[in-house]
Amino acid sequence: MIRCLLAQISRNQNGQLVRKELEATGEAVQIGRAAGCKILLLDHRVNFHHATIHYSDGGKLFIEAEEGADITINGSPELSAELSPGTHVLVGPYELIAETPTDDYDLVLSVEMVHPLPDDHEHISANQAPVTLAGAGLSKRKLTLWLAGAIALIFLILPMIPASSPTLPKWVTSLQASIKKSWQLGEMSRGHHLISAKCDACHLKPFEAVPDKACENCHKTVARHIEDKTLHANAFKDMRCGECHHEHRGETREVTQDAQCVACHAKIKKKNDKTKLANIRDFSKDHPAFSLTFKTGHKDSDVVRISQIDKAKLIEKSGLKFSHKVHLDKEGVSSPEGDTVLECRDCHQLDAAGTRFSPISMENNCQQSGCHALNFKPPVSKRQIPHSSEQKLMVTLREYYATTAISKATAGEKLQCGAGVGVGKNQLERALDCANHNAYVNAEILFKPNSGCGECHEITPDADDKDIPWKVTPVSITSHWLRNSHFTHAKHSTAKCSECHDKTLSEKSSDVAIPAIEKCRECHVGNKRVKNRLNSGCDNCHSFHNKNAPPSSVAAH
Amino acid sequence: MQRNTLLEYRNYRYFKIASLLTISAVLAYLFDQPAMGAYGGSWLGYLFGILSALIVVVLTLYGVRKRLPSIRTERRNSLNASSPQQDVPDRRKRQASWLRHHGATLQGWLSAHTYMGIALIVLATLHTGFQFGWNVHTLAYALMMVVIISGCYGIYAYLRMPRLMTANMGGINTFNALLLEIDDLDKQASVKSLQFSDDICAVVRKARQETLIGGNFFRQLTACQRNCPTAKAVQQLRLLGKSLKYDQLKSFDDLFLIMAHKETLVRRARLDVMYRARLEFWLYLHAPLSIAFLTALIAHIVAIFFYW
Repeated sequence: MIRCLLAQISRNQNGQLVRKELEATGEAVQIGRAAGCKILLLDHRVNFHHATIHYSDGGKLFIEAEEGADITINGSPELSAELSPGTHVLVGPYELIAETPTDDYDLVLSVEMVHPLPDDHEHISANQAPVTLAGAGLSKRKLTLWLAGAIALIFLILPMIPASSPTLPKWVTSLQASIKKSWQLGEMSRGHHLISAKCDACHLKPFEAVPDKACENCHKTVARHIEDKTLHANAFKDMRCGECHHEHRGETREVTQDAQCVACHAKIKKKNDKTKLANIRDFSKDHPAFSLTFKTGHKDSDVVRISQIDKAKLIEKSGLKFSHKVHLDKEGVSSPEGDTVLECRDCHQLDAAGTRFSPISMENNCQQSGCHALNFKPPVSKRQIPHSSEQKLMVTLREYYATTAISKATAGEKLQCGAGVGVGKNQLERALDCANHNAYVNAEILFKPNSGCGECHEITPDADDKDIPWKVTPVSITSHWLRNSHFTHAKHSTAKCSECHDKTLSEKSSDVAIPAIEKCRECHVGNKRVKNRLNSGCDNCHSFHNKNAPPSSVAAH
Repeated sequence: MQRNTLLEYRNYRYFKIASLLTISAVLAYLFDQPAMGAYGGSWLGYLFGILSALIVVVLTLYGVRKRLPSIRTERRNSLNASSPQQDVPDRRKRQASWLRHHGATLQGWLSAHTYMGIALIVLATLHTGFQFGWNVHTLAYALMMVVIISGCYGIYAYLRMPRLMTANMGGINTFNALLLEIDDLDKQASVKSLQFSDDICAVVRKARQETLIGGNFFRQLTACQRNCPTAKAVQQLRLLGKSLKYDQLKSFDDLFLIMAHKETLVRRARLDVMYRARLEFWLYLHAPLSIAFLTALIAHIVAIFFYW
């Protein structure tokens, strides 16, 4: 039997200790929340049955923790311990202190709540998890400073530091070049990729638009738009290259677009009332009829342009007589090899660029298969008369007939001359006269309007020249009919020649068979999409920089 | 009422202005055929850029205006100073009128801020000509879009959240009152649980000690605590109650009801935290990113004209 006095210690409102004693006697003294416990400790931190005090076999008082419960003896966790006077036992939030036993009691225990539960709102709030975003550690100000600072440093300050600064280490300049690219609006055009990292190759001064000088440093031979220097200067005034050639727009967008041409050419007559050009917006809508270039002389500048509308004026004066109808006869044309059917390509051969055709020549095209051999008339020799000037032709004839006459005179043979030639002269003089006579007679036959040379050439009498009184009209064949455009025949090889150039019935060389714009429009349309038609911009046929004009750099200064 | 005053301010004045601006811009964009295709460097592109920059300035000024409440006082003082000779009733009348006007102006600022911000989406997008890349220009655009979209969410939150918050609180006035009530229930549950086994007592203790309201950024936004001890305690009590003796059931029912009530209040408290977080979190994007956007915008403008 344990006779136990329980002294409950509490504090009054003034904080003074209040001791209340109770008796708790039994075979063993249970400690816990359970109703049957002798020492009842009502706190949820105390187990239902927390510990038991009992006598040991040796007659000493022991406290022993129940299964699953924790007790602390004099500051260290134990399962059981002797309850000698002065022992401090912690059961949940309660401290039990064994006091000196009295005569009436084997055990005197004081019990005090030493760890009370928090009971005020401030304490609850102090232990409360954050309930605001600011309380959770987020700071708008810090985020602002970091973000704005990083952007300002990376995208504003670093790209502005001159790359060539010798004070900067290499890795900084290389990093800077990468950062600088962040300022680029878009991909560089294909031609400028090589200088994409050298901003100052074009941007010569900060906050100043790219000057033409920067372009001309590399593009030295780019021609201006208008041949006339003054007109060009008036039309383009202070306009920079960069206003048409927009860079940083991707690989293929740098070159000028139709709309830029149309910006002027749609109202070109308003801009310059003296211009012969028509207002134009689109190839399909209002592109005028083509103007063909006719040669008027041998110089490149000796040309005249005639619109295809003026059909009566479309006559080529080449100085030649040529019938395409005869040469393109389906039955063939007679040649030393028999009747031969000719095709266009037998005479007209594409040049190396595939754009236009190689010039026609007598040797390469007309005499290629023994056709158009230049024999003596009458055919007194197998020798060929040279296809050359009138003078050279006469020299050849005279040489031949002089040799023949002198040979005959030396051999004592009779000279075959016209009556009265060389009469009264010695044999040698007579032979020379005879040779000149025969040469003249032969030349007279050759220079007839419709035979010999006259079969192909236009021949006119030349009364002023008594020695050679005939003149062959100089040949002038137009090789580039549309001089202000570029047309690539090779790209149109899927079409037959006759689809565009109908020459099969042409009997005169003066006939012009350049297709009209309507023919082009069968396949090509302007910028508006049309099914099964090819969209064609201005630069499909025209070049802004006129190849006939000197470089812009020359024009500018 | 809030919806009316903010979005319908002065018979949709700023909605009309923003719509007119947007429609005009779209039509101009559709009809304009720049030589090099649409982009920020065409004359229309520059116009869109300048307009957008001006709108950005106006939008930023709202932020400044909001942070300068003293303007009101200063202006009121100056108004009073200008008419000292007027009698009191007249002056009060003017003050009241001015305040109404001034109050409306502040709301007008927000109304304009909202609609012009949305119009900026269209104007700035047309300014780009739909050309984007990995550069500071697109960075500025992207930041601007995040700022505007977060602002749109902010308007939605301001219009929607207060009602949800009021409905959620169910008559409890403040969040602190809710916390005190939860604490009170905790105490009641602790006392009630003392008479029961250690299992029940531990469940109640754990629910008291480990239940979290609020917490980090994501917990606040989601109103969720994984394996919430209170919710779990209610579930466990339902099971543990089955093995109790008949004479304990009455007290246990009381304990269960206390815990169930606590669970409801905890949910409400968490929802309240969530609504407040959702009402606030967009500002953590809107305000810092707007300054970041302004910095990127300056970089964009400097870059354009530095390498003109």
